[in-house]
Amino acid sequence: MDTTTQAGARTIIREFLRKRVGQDIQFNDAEDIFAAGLVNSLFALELVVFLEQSFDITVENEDLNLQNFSTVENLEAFILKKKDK
Amino acid sequence: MTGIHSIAIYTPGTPVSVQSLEEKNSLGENELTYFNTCGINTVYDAGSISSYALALGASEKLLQETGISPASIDLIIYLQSRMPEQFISSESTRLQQDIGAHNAISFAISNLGCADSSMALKLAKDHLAANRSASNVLICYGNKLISRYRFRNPVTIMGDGGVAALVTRNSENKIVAADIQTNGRYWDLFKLEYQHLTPDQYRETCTDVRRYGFELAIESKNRFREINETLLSRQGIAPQEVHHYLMQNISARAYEYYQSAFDIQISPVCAMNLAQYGHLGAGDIFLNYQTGINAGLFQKGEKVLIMNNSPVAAWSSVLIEV
Repeated sequence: MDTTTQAGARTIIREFLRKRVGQDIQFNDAEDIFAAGLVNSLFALELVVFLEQSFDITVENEDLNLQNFSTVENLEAFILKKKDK
Repeated sequence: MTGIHSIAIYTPGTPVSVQSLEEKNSLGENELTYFNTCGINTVYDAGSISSYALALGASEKLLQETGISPASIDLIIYLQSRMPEQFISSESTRLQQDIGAHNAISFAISNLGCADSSMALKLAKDHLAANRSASNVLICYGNKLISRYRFRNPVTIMGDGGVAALVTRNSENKIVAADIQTNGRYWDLFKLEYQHLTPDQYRETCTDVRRYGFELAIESKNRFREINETLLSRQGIAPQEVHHYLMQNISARAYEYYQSAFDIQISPVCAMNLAQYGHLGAGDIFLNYQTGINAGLFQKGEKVLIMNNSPVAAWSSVLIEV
């Protein structure tokens, strides 16, 4: 993935989260989104389906380390790693 | 052919509104929100009746209703309570003795949580297939916590009740296939540390709510997708040929999750029983199946896929042809 696409991934992830969390809750790219009280299974499903559809990846059981999904930065790194495989 | 001949549900005691449970006052804000929105209105409180007595009561009710002689039971599969009355002794052989099933072999299944019942159906089917002389398998379970806390955060509210099912050689409610997977990564995600505590202090805990809400939720989606695809394709059945989907009764949110994940409708009998009985552990799927049959929702020849899982962690699907 080139630099332009990388920047695109981060923007896409951030926009999804902002819509999902709502404008009232502020967070930066390094902040733990789960600390914002978003941890429930329906949110998890939405997030994973969003990632799989937006970036044409499959989230496998071995990917299910919460760390991979906890911040915008980590989500972007996870996407890049999956696309690189 | 092997099928579920009959099911009996035994719920002595009084239905209690969950809003009147004393433990509600000890919940934090997030816990209380979940408690109030999980889809459970009442649970049966069996008072001092033990899990064993609930299993026994259900078994006796089943034998009485069907007229099956206890002597004709070949195998008893006792679903072990998470908190047996005693250590060392055997509740499964005690039940054999108490119902008079003197020709049976009796043993217990445990450690798969709700999925114990799927394993029991699988073993019953396999036992009858492997033993030409065997005809009747009794599966029974009593759900009763020793802990005074019924709320399992962030999952469900436990009710009391006993369940028994008779599996025989017949073509009705045919057990077509049962597939099970487990993953030890989650072995202690839920636990109750009992040593050095009195029963009054027992309280089940989720050791990592974030792992439960994210990792296990997504792995459950992946596991059920794999199990269902494999099971149905092996039988030459397309997903759209499944008429009804059942699950164990955990919460309204759990039904919503799986409906959204798989674009399916979980049968409304599940939410109805959830509201009335709460969670009956490994007994839920029998209760739901029986309700579907008795209500006339499940018609002869229709296929019912029962998805049943446990957070510590097991996933199972059982395909039944009505």
